[in-house]
Amino acid sequence: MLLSYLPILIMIGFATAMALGALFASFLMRPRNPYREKLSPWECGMEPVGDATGGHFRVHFFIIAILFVIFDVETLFLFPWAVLLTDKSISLFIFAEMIIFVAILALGLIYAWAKGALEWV
Amino acid sequence: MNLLRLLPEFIMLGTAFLLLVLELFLPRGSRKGYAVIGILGIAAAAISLPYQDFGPALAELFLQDQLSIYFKWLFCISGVLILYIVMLYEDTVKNWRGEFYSLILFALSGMMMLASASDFVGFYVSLEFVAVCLYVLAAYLTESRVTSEAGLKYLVTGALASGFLIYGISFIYGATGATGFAEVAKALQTVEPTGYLVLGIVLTVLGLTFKISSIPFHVWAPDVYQGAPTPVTALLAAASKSAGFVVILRVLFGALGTVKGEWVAFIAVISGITLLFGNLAAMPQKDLKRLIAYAGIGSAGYLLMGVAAASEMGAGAIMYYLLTYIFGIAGTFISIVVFYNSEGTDKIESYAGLYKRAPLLAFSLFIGLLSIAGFPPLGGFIAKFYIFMAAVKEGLWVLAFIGAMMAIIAMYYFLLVIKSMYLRQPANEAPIQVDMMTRGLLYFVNAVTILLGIYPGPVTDWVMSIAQGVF
Repeated sequence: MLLSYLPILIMIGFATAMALGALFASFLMRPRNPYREKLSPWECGMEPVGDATGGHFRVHFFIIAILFVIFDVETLFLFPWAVLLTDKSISLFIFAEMIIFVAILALGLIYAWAKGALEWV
Repeated sequence: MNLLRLLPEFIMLGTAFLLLVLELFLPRGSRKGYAVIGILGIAAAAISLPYQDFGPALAELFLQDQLSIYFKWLFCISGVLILYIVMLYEDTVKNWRGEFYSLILFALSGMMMLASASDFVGFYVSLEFVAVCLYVLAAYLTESRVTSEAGLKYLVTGALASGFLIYGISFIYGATGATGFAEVAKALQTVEPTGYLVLGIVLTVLGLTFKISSIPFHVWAPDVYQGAPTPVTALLAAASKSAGFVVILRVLFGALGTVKGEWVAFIAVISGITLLFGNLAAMPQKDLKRLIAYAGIGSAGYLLMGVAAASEMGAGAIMYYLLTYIFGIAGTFISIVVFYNSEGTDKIESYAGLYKRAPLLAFSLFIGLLSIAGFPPLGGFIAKFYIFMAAVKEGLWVLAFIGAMMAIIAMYYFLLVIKSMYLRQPANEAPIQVDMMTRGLLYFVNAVTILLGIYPGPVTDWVMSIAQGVF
């Protein structure tokens, strides 16, 4: 049974060899000619400001991210539902269910909004 | 219409949403009325319980039967008591008071779903629903560093335990090809137990030890019990532990009951270590909530002893133990919150001479703690007696012996608290005021604890008849 996975193992080996080989080949062939301008981080043609590795960003982004994920998952959920909706025997029931589901999510958004979670302080 | 079998959960969820919507319109301020609305919601859910018909719901993810009804009763009782504790405690919370009530109701409805979960999928979803609410509640006092630390520890250990749990479930699914508990049990009658199945059982049990705070996922308990807001500690101690055990009954007795030879020894070892650790580590504690956390680890050991017995009697003993435990915890925590509101501390030394300052609080702590320790003639004694009887009947002599030793140690550390309350002189003689409602509730809770000890007959008969159907 395990033997049927052999092509995947070969594929993994092949992909690894390919990637390492490409890196190694370019390491052998590329010209080496470093200077200060070239080594500086590229930031849309602007002079780099500060250190890019610190990774400081507003913690506030996480609420936006959570809200995004919730509605993203909702969309994901809507697609199979929309396909099944043509089935007459259950359509009314699942329509009501989805309305309740979306209403709960909407309540969540309204709640977050009213509580000021979307204010950009 | 099988959705009606989830009516109690829907009532609880509806109440929680109602409180959230109210929160949008009301100005900032006291939210004590929410406790009344919440208690009414729980009462409505409880009233619907006796009218429930039995059978599967939601594509057999959930199952309404006698076991789920019993545990839903437990969650309703603990919900009412905990909402009352929240009302007493509310002034300590600075922000988002309304949410506190909704989150507790959400957690309780998740536990009710957990009580009727009959499929690994429904079970896992309900478990995470409860866990997410509890993560937020444990870290609720955002301005307190101790609470934030407690919340973080709870979250990290919980995530790790969830990983173990779902990995174990995947192995059980691999070994049996089913996720429904009944189907797993059916598959195991024909399939020979393999190493993968045992690995799955071990990982699942390890994941569940987080909920019941036993070895090896017990490390969060002392810090979280001490640091979390006191009503949340009560919720964790009473309701969350019951939720963990109903799941253990369903998974181990229901789904994996046919292969009990594979897990009994493992559970017995966990139970023994948990008993030793919880009770011995409780002795040097200085903080009452922390002491109760270690004693709670010890209680998980006793309850696991009932699981290791793997018999109908063991299941019945667990159910009775949890009922007495809820009342013991309720009496203790109402007193702790009233004392904290007046004194602002949970240190055991500050309880010195409490008898002179507030006789009722001292008496409730006396009854509650001794019931948890298993002192006759209180409810906890009968529960422990049944656990021992179940263990001895199945030949677990060593485990019963460890349990009996540890019961004596439990008396020791709880009697130290009681000694300091009754025999030592208070540093400050001023009496502590207890309002009429709280007095009445404390009398009621203590009366139930004593009654469960001297007249256990009706409840134990009920519990043992439910236990017949667990396997």
